[in-house]
Amino acid sequence: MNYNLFNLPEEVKKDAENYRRSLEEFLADKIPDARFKGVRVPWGVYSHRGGKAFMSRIRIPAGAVNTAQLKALAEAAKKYGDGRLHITTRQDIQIHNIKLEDTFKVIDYLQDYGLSPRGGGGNTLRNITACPFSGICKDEVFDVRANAIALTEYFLRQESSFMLPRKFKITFSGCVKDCSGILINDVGLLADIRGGKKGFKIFVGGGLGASSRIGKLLEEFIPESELGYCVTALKNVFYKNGDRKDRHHNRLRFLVEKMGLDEFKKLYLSEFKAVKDAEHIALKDIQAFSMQEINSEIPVKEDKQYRDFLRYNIRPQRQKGYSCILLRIPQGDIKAEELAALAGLEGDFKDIEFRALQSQDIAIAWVENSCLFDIFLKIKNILQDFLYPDTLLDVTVCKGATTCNLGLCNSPALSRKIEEMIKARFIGKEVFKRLDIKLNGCPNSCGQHPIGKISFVGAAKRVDNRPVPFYKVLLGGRREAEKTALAKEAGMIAAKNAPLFLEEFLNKVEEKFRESIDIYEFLEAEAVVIAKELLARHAYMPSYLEGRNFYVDWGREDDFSLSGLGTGECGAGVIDMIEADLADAKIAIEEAEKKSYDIEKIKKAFFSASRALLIVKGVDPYNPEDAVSEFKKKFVDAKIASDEYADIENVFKAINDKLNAEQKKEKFLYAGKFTAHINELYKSMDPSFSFPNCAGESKPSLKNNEAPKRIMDLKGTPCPINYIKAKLALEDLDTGDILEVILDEGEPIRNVPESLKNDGHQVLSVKQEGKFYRILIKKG
Amino acid sequence: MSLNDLQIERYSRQIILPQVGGKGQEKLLNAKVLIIGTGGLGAPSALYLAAAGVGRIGLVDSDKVEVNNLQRQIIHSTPSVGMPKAESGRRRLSELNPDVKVDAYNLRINSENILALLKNYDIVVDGTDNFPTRFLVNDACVMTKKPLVHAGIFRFDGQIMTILPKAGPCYRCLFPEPPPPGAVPSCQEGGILGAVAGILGVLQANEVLKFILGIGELLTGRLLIFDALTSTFRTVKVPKDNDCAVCSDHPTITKLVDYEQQACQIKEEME
Repeated sequence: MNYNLFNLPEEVKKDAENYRRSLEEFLADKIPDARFKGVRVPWGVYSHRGGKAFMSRIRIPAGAVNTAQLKALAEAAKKYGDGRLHITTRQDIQIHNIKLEDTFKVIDYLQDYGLSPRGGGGNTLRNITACPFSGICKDEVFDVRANAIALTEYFLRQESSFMLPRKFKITFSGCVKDCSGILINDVGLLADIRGGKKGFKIFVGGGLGASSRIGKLLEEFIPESELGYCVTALKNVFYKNGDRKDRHHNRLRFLVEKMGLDEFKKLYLSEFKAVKDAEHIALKDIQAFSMQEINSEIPVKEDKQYRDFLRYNIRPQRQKGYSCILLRIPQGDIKAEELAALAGLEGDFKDIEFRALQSQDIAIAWVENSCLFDIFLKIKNILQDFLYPDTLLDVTVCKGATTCNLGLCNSPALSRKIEEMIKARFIGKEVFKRLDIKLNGCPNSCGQHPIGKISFVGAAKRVDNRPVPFYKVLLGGRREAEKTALAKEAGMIAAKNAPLFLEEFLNKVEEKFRESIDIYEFLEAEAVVIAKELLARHAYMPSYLEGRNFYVDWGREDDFSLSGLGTGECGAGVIDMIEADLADAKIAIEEAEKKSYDIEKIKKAFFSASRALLIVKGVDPYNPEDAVSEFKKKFVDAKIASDEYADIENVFKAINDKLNAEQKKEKFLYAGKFTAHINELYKSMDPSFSFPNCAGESKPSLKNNEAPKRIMDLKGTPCPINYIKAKLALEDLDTGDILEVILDEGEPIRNVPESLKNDGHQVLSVKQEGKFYRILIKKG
Repeated sequence: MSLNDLQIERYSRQIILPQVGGKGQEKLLNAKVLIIGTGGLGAPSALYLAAAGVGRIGLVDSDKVEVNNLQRQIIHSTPSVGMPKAESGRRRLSELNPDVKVDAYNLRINSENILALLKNYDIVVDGTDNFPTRFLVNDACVMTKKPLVHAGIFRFDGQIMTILPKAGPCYRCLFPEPPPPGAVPSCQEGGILGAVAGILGVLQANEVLKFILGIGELLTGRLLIFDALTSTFRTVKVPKDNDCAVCSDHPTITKLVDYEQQACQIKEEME
């Protein structure tokens, strides 16, 4: 079926031009890596481990993807990637191993099919997920997929959705079975009907990661008509209050925790009112797709595989006569030709509809029951290994150390090992039907380990002076609306012992299962005892000489090592771009000084310094002239920056190679002072990218008659002695007198002016001179 | 007078305090404090005052350092056993801070020598170990209008009050007469935990520093009582006694007197 629920907004398509331009600039060596990264990552383009190849994460709103789109994805993966695609736990589809220069081609190509990686990474509003069985599920209250897609279109139009303090994840569930995980997202919306009206129960502050949290109830019910206001208000609260400079504790959950739910709710309610007063938000009314019920019988065949297919892979739809097929995609990895062939099934079964699942699987909905055997045979020709979705064998796993910069262990390789073992020993058993496994290569939760019934989390331990791949074993995670619970750690196991441990554990659990009771109660108590006993039995670690095998991760030949491990890219964004520019400006100043006031370097300093903060004003100039004039407009004229720089455009224009040494030095000193001023402004920037207004605040410029009464050279005087000396000197002066001090860079310049301000003195100006700073202080 | 670099460095952590600053430090360096007794109270008090840079400190004590002193009198150390306490204290303070000029008085204070001693100092720390001297010091300070920081300790308890003569109550407003000889504890009962002496001695130093700097509120008209066993402080208001024998407008004591004391009580009951 080629029905398009989601329409990629024109704004996103236009914005792609910025990506192209940044990429070209970067490839031509005109902008530094850190700066390009700030553009690249919010466009869903991540570096692979090693930094040579890239991944593009295409957002699939609510997991709804049509056959033309699937074919396009497969084609893009073949043409620009390594011919493989990966389905994520956020219903995105990733293309891997793309050359950097081809990343725009992927964006450009997929755009024509209504797909984009915009907001696939970085500090953005990420893919909005929804129950994968929306519209066909027997249990659902109503079809939430339409809401998820409408909300996606609304937010993708807004620039602010890509400039958030940190990532922001929204999900919808159609019923309390909660296939989508409303308590493990920043914002979770649960379908409900009250007084005959559709609406949602709202949860906030959940999320999985190195510090996972369960979401908290914010609103019992908001009608569907208020959905846009509600989520916009939440987004605004986060936009304004998230602490952008501390990216490790900067998800909505930390904000909720820090201020307390009551305080947060107050803030939300006042924002909700403000949004409602200010704008009218009518989300697009997306018509859910449906078909007439039919009489259609499931064919009966004497084929063992087909019988298992019917038993494990089929979900009867709410609509009579139709089934939804679930295809287990091991490790979420699928080849381009397989994906294209699946899309091609449309030729024979014309109304089928595809969905990407949070379990990293694929679903095909609207299959007529009578066609099930035929489609089974066709699928068998396409996929090797698709039986038994939603079982113990359907391991959820991240990409791990194979491609990820953060991955510690090779989780996909362990997953394959575990799947082999399960296939050989446990198919059809109780544990097979009732348990699941989630596997993560590191503590970040892309593989969703905190909600796995049995989970493994990659870790490294030092044994015999060498790093050894280990996994933490967790039990009892649960994703089920308000019953959601995080898995608890039972102990650690060497990666090489993990399959054996798991096999023994499953055997023991299987024995208990026959008379067993509530699965979660069991996992919390009895299972922990079993696991701990087995973990103790497997605790022995041979020395390197005795058992090198333990020092090599699954799927590898070489010794386990942590080299290649880098910082995560997903927090990259505005702050990185600002800091990259500030660093560039500083380097330019230093080099200008070394190269007898080289004018190119001075110009570079003007360019980087004036551009640094423009990004928060939504301007990203690509040449120095624009940067300087935009700075004048957005910062000097807006009274944010000091009016000392009112003439900056002329000062900049006058820089040319005809200047004599004295004039060059003058420009150099101006650039130094200007750079220091920008650094000060950056420091004063608050978490929501606002600046204290210069006009209202006391940020006086120096008048000519304000000459220092005393000058103190505090170069080489460490903290806090430099401060004390300045303070003592000020004591001897009269109120209003000026003291000039010269301070070292680093700690002194960071601390001393601030401390003197706290003492009630006024810092009139900070001027950088190479490695020193000249500060004028007025006694308060 | 201005601070040299070494002094800025040495006192940096208190100069940083807005209430101290360079001006406050100069006040400290110009201040003169007399500490009577270098025992459990005088020892910690003297150390903190010297460390803070009080310019001149007088130490009065007629005893020699004994091994049993060392459990609490932390200004003295094992090699000083047998040395006059005033001299032992002087050496320690000079080592601690060369900025401090220390006057050592190896003498027993009495009604005849006390006025000459007080004359050269701004404030007095009472670290005496007996009632006759305590009353003598109180009376002399009231008569010469010299501020006095009183403290007393006994077993697990301590008390402290700052006396600003005429402006607030004096020790006699609290206790008009020394107790009769039989009422004070016997030698065996008069033990003390060293740290309790330390706490009260340091509180005395703190009062002196506040007085010199002119900051905060002194313990005038307030008796602070410390109970070490429960680690609690409480303050009791002490009114000025309008009929006080020494500090009222119509004093009955106008001449200093030396009270008698039995040998054992002199040493142990109150340090």
